[in-house]
Amino acid sequence: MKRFMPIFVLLLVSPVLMAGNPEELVERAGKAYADGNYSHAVALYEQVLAMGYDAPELYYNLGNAYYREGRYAPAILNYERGLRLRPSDPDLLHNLGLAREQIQDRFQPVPELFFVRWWRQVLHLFSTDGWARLGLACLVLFLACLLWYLYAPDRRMRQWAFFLALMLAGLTTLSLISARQQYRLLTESREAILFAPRATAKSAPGMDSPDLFVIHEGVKVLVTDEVGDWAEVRLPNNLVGWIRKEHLERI
Amino acid sequence: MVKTIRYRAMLPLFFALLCLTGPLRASDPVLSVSAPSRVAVGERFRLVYTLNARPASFEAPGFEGFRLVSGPSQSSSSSTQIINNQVSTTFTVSYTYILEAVQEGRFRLSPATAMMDGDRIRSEAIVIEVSGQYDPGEPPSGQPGSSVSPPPQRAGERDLFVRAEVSNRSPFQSQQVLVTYKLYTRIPVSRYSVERLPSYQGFWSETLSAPSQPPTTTETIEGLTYTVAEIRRVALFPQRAGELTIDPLEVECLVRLPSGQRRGSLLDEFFSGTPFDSFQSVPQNIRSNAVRLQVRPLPSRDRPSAFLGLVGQLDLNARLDARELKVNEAASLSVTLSGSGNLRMLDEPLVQLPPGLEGFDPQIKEDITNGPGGISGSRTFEYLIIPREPGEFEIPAFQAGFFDPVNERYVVRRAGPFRIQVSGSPGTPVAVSDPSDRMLGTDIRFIRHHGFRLSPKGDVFFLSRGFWMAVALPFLLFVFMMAYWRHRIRLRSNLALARNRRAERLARRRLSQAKRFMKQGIQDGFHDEIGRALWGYLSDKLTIPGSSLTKDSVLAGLQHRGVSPELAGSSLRAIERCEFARFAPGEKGVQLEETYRLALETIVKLEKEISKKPWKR
Repeated sequence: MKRFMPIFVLLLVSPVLMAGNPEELVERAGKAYADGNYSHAVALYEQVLAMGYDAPELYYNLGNAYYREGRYAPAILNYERGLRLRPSDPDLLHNLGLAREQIQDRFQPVPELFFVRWWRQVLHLFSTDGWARLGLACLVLFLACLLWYLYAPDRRMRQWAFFLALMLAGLTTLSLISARQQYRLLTESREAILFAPRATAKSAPGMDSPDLFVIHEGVKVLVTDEVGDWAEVRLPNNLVGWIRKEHLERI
Repeated sequence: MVKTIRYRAMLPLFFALLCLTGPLRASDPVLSVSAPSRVAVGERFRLVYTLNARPASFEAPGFEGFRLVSGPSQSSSSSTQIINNQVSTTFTVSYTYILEAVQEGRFRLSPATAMMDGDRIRSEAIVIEVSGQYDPGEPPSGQPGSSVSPPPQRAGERDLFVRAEVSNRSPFQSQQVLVTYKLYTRIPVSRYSVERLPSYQGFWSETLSAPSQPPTTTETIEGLTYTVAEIRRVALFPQRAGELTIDPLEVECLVRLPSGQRRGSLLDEFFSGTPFDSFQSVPQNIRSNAVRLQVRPLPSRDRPSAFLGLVGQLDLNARLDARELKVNEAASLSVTLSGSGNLRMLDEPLVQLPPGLEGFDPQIKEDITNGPGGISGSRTFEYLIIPREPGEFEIPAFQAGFFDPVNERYVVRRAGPFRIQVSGSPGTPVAVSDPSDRMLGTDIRFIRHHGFRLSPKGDVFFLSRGFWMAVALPFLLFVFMMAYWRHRIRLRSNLALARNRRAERLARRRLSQAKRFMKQGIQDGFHDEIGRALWGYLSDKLTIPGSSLTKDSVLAGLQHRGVSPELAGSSLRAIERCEFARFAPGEKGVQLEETYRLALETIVKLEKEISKKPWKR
């Protein structure tokens, strides 16, 4: 009897779970948003997230609802989270750009070298899983070409198969490396959004340290180190300072 | 209380003075007192001490039995006369007390004293009888006792007052409130003038009428008949919600009062009985009542976006003077807002012109009248519209919203839409337009409703078990495929080797069978076996399947195996002869022997030649 208890409990609980069916919640939230009831939409989307589900569209919609409420820091956070799952979604990029215009601090990012920029653009073509699937497809094709090369009766065909296999091997490697990069961004994110209305960056962890600069809500920072309650952050313009961790929300 | 004697009132007096005859002597100082002899409890009355000289000091008695309401108020007047080179100056000082009777009984007021040039001048002592309760309905001047006392030098509050009447005590913000000031009088008023207008703080005000000769009516209040004149009418628009107070209006009236008796004054004695001095024009300041308004705010619920700020009534009319135009020809769109209320503060209605129509700022014409019922009229906005492109345009309908205070709701009036047909060719070439050039604003894009695929958080395919399986699967397949191919190739090569090895043996067996048939004389069987021996040998040896076994393929196969062309040729000729022998006429016995020998010889030769070389597929 004891073995079946969890199942029994699950059966009892399941109607409760059904009441908060995530698809239904999403639909209700969409209606609330369309009616202009943004705070309700926010609550519903957050509920879906709290249930352990996510989707780029979900972060996008939640970001929009926050934006409409005038809460730009959480809006930026959710757009960024959506972009983690779908790196080059045009709607996410568009709305994130608008949300960034609403916040107080605007940094001139340090220009990157052209090949770094290109690599970033290529990297953000697909998400982790997009790259992973592409890599798998290339791997299958590569192996097929290899077989063809080894056992094709015709010499010309074997030449073709060789070049194809070479290219596919390269493509597979690129895809898997990109997938790995995206995966690291997703799981070991070191970027964060400032949630406090204003925060003073110190030169060292600790309240007694000299003040360096002040940043405001909604700024995206890179967390480079952590000591106790303090995090060392790097701003887009390469300023570095220590900020209390509680002010930050990891993307 | 007599402050100034106005020019008009002075003229007959001056004339009378000029006509004076007889010597005048300077009068002795006299302190006279005037008060009603009988009053009621609660009644207010006037106690006036008059002195015909300037005193050094004046001391009033105590007023036992009465309450001092106000006083003493001091006033003085003087007049100088020159008659027959004799200068005489008349000077009068009066001290006025307003007392209220508190209880019934007879009260004696002891004399007042004034010091003058070291002399003490005393007035008479007077006795006032207080009896009965004061009835405010009774006209104060119509009392029986009034004839006993000299008439007052000031009109009572009940004889002359100004009332402010308000059309609505709890208006909405910006709603028109009419304030009417009425002068009520029971005594003749020769003229009036507004001394001080209220500041109307918190209001926007507009004077509707302020006649100098207002028509009069009569009205009866509490049994008294008054002459009523509407002296001023003002429209007020409260600018904020909450409690607002309309300050009183101050009016100065010139009232004609029966002149007071001045005992002991020869001058007064002279005047009494003449028509000139039976009345005296006295200026008097009176104030209206203050009015409190409770202003309600406009409801914020259901407020239309087209609300123009007007509270009252409104009508919207729009007229377009031309429907068909040529490019660059002007049309005028006049939008008329007519109604009542705060029209002067009316905003212009929002008219949106489609791109291609150029609009200019409107000319505003006002036709607003301040009638007795308030402010009404119309405000016309005239827009000049010039089409810059040909085509059909539609000016969308526009709206004017106002608040109806009677029904307490917002009303929206609509006009339009208007269609304009524009012909002709564009005067200036219209640039290719990109919608992004005319972006009206930027806003975030709308949320997504479809294509949702909710997945558990952190559910990443990459590096998951499924991913590794998906990677391993093609490799496994690859290895399997390679193994399979190798296996098949080896199998095929083994088969060919085996056939190669047993080819000669099989051929010899068939030849010996043919020999047996030869001895038995079975010719068909003999030829069949010979053919099978030869073709079968070649098939096995050259690894050519039986179906594709032709002379050409055999020749190619032999050459491929390194057999010399001579041998290959002779072998094929031998095969031909063996096949030909079946149908050849002649002696069978010798022929069969010959055929057999040829076939055997060919196989032996080929075997010798092929087996010299290593086996090749």
